Amino acid sequence: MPPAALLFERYGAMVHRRCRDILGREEAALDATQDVFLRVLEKGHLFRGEAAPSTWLYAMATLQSLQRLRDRVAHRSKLDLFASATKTALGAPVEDRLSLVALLERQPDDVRLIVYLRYVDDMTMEEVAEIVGCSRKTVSQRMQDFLASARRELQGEGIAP
Amino acid sequence: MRTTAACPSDFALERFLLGESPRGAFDVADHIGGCDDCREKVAAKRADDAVFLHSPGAADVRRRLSFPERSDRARRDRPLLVRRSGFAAIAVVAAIAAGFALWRAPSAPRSTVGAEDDEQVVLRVQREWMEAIRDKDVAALDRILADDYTFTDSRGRVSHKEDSLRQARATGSRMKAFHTSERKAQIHGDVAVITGRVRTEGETGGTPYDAEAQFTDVLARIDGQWRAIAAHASSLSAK
Repeated sequence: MPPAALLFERYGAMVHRRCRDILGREEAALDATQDVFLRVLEKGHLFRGEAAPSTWLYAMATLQSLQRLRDRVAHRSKLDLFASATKTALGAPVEDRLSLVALLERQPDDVRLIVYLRYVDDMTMEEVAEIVGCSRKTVSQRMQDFLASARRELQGEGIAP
Repeated sequence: MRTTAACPSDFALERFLLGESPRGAFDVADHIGGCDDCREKVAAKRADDAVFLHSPGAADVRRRLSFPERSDRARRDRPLLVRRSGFAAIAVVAAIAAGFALWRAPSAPRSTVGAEDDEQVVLRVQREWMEAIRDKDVAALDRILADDYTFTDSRGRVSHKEDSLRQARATGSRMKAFHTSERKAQIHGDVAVITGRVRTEGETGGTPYDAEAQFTDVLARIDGQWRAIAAHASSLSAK
């Protein structure tokens, strides 16, 4: 793994754009960008060497930003988009945005990343698999598991049929 | 969101910009050639690259990446100068005679990274620094030395960039040749520490000298350029 400072020169702008796209605000995007590269410093040894650094950094930028979306007031429109995309994926007439948001927040990081990349970014399964760092089959399975459990959970709350 | 079903994802456009080939049969370059929307997106990203990498925000991130103890946020937020002085202090060890800092001169400006890695770049810069001292190249020294550069000599005397430039302009002394050995560079993010030995020959006030010193130079990547921020030299001999 190249040093974080070198990665920043090559990928810093990409990471910053990704964070800004999700968070919408420059200050928050810069803070998230910094945290992505600080994480590289601390966890760079965990990087899977066979992948391009761009995939790992793009995934980390997405996750860092999604974690910050919990500030619901500041990021309401993006959360709406996330919930709306998930609603489409569920194929159910879910109208309770907060239930969907809460459901998404309870998911592990990799599931939230997969759902966001697939349904908000509209990425292909191949792209999602490459960024997440697992096979297409695994991504597909994780998505199916998520959709099934989401339907069960929302049904239990009387929100989905 | 994609503009059309056929448009590549944002990530695919980013990778195109990075010169990486995304997996799959989809030819992003071909698509961009025929898609106004994607061409505009790529152009906007390219412009954003230049703006971001030269922005104060990016400079701030660079500074924070330079110091490994950064998981502690309070420490991260310490002003740069405070952290730099800590580094300089490490570089400043004891010393002996050799009133002339002539030899401690390596380093240079341009970091045309390309095929060179950071270690090669800083060693090259350091050599250019030495050559600039030997050649009394004031412009090169001005480029190589950071504005807050400090040098500590064998007697513990501290001088600054302006002193080095003045010395280069002076005609009373001249280093005629230098030879370095045992040079080693350690890179810590945007900071490099170079240690080694240098032997110099020259004359000052008409009197020839032949001196050897152990040096520690500290360079920092400032706005993409490796520049000297501190140096220290201990005289090993003086004839």
